[in-house]
Amino acid sequence: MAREKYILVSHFCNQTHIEVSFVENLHEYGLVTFEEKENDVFIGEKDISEIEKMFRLHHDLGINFEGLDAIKQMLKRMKKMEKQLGLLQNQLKIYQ
Amino acid sequence: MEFIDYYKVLGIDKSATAADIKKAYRKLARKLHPDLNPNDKDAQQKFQQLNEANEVLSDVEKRKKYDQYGKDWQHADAYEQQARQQQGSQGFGGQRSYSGGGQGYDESQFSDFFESMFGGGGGGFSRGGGNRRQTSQFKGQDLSATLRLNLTDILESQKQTISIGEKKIRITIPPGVEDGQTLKIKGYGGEGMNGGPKGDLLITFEIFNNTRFKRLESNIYSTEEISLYTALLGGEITVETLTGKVKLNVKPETQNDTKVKLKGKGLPKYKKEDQRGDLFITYKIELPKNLSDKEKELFTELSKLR
Repeated sequence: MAREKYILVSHFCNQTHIEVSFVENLHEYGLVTFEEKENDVFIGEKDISEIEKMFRLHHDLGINFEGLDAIKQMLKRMKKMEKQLGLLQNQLKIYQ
Repeated sequence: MEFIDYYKVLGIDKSATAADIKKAYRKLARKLHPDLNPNDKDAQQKFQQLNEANEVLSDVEKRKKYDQYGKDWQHADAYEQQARQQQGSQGFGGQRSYSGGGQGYDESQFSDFFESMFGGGGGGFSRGGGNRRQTSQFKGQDLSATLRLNLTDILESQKQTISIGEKKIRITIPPGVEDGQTLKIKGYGGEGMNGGPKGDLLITFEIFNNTRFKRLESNIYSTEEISLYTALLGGEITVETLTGKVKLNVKPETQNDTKVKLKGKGLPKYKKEDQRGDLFITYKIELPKNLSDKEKELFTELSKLR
């Protein structure tokens, strides 16, 4: 079974110069999931690139947390639709 | 080195104020930001130019220099060289040790034009005390390559060597890859922007169907012609599969367009060892032509029995 790696939020913020409050806000808005163990707060490895992306959007474009949530959902839908489109194009080849 | 008109990049006049520049930059950044345009190389390149344009035009000194030399940036180089000779080591630009902050600064984030104009490697630019978050880090561009394989090549795992620049990568292609499927090889793409991680190498498979079968995922489809008599009375036929010929019993009174499934005679399932798709055969009944008088007589007789 694959094991996911976790990183301490404070350690991640130190390394990336992202404010802890920013990550906490993301958590409050349900944009990132925290894992808590013995008073320590961790984030999963898969969330790292997502947090960095949201930080860039927030920092570069001034997008607020509601906006980040909307963008996240739309990018997710876009990715799903691109996948479906690829699948349908493959299926169409049968009839061509 | 191509001249980049920074005013054009931002869509503003030469008389634009600092506020106009800021407004134009923000508007275009929202449109072209790489995080909002994943896998769009064009947007990524335009965003890079946009950042460059903003970096220069939002700085009074740099804008002045750009306005002064513009297209004739080569002369600016000559001028700088002359000035350096005159002023010893105090010239602006060109001195790599003068890179402000320097941390994670990547030369490749700016165009050749920019580097020639203002000095390469960040010379002459203060990046704000090494706070690398002043400019966003971006993962390097993903490189895409297409690998063409025959359908018969994907029956078993394939080992291929791909050359990326000077590097050679040996990859193992699992059996059953789909047409259009992409394999990601992490860290073999372009250099990151502002010290960001390297991009990935995306290999898209183009599967050329060199067989008579049609494919849908791991299942394959074919059409077999059977004689009228085999369809009516049943019998044995030999059909082709991907792994050779097999004998098949046709049931009596088989109708036209009847489909039969040959379990496990399809393609291997991607990353599911020992599992294969099925072969679906559609029977097409071939009616006899050029009937003899005797045959016509017998068919007439048969028709009267119904």
